[in-house]
Amino acid sequence: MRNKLIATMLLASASLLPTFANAQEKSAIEIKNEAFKEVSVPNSTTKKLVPASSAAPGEPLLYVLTVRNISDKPVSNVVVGNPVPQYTEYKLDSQTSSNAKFEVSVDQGKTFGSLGTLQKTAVNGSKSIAQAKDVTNLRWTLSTALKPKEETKITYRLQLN
Amino acid sequence: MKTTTKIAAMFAAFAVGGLAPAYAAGTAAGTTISNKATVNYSVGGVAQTPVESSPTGNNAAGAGSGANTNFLVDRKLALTVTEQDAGTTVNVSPGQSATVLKFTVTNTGNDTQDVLFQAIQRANGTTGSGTATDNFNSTNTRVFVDSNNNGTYDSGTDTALFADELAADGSKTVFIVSDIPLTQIDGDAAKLSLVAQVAAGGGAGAQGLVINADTNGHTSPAMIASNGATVTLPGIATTSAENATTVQNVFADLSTSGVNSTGTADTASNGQASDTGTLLVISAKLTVTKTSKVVSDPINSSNPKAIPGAVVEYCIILQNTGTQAASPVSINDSIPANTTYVPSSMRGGVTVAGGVCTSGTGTALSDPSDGDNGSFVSSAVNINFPSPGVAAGTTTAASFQVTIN
Repeated sequence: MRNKLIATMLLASASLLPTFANAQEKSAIEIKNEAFKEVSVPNSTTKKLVPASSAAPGEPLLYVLTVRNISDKPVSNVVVGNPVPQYTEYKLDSQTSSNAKFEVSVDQGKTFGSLGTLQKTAVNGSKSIAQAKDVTNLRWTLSTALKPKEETKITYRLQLN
Repeated sequence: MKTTTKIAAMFAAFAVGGLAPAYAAGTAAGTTISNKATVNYSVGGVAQTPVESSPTGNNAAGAGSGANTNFLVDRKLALTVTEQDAGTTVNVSPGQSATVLKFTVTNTGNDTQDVLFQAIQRANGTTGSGTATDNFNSTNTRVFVDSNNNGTYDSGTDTALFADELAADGSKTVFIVSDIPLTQIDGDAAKLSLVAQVAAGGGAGAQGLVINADTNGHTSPAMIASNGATVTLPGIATTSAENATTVQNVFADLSTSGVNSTGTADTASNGQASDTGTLLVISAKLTVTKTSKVVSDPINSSNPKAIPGAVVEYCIILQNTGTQAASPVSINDSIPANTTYVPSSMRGGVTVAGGVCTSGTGTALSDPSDGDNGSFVSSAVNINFPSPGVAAGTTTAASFQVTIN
């Protein structure tokens, strides 16, 4: 039903509005993407996380994805995809998630698998085992449905080249 | 050359792709890094329109409804300085002017910078960067950039005092030019450090302001004028807080070896880098010893004594304990009062045994100023050792005889 409604809206808005982006249809899911970096605390060995609005090359950044079911129905088959931004590298084994299968792609999301099994093809055609720096996309497939109002957090690190 | 071509090719590739260049030193300052996640999901077993992420949380469906989580790439400020004769010494001669130590200065940051320089005469006793220990300072010390990029100091051509618009990953050859006092001897060593200080790009041909502090509270030491006075250069001190719209300066020089612009130990994150070279004086070191012995007297047939009429042989020994040949060498010796030169008694290339001349060895030299290496002029003997002179580590001698009046 809902899908049909969106499709209808799409058709209607396509003629009336230049972009669909303006249509603020509320989904069952809300996703927040925050970037942080670790900074040293003066006179202490501990570090604290601060929201990252800028970074120098070589600095690692921590991303926190918060996926929340804002509806009153269970949400299933949740798949979170995140391309690795240009100029950054995924830091090996840096992701944390619960009840999720983590996979990566080294070919812009065409195929996914776990790092160590994926191969990359060099310009000259030779194949080799892909490394963390070759990762182009991250993907988390939640193994359980999100109950109404339930949220899950996914974190991972990128390093700025 | 190959590397340059490669970099140029990289730039061309990026230009085609319309992307900001990525350097070995890191992503270019001012680049915005955008990140966005997308969630696919089902409700009641029916797949829904995907939802994109935003920094504050987005629940509007459809592509383009989310927003990127962005951050700005800051300006990483880092330089390296490497002496081109690392670990070895540059040999110089006493009195040599415009001796040259060569350094390679590389911008390992991610933006175009100007680089200022200062030469530091290291203290006596300084070791490292070559085996010799510093024991003197060279004079008339100047720093020039290799303006024509030929790797050689060209007086009058290489006159630039700072590296202008040094691109990320770019490098320049920089020279410390100085003079060696004539009084320095074989084995003396002067160590000099080239300190590089990062400055703002400032536009082509214009020296940019010194970046003497970064946003993390690190500061640069002051520079020192040629007269030894401390100079606080006009600088850009940026201490503003983390901010997404301004590219901030971050000192990223991690090396703590060498010295800073005040001659004290370098520290990390101070906007400076340095390396040290050694000027080693190589020269001849002549020791001249003059001995005499009575070879005959008019009375005694053996054990001659120094009585009037006796013949005395003078022996002049030249010992070169330096590392270079002394060439040419000439001996000029006036005949002592109350003695008379024995005509045609000069000999050159005389053998030395037990610290004295062996009489009759070597080559007899004639008195006139002619083709040979000896002459007797104005009551003085002149004995020459033309090229190759007295070789390093060798001993030779000359002799002549007088009679006691």
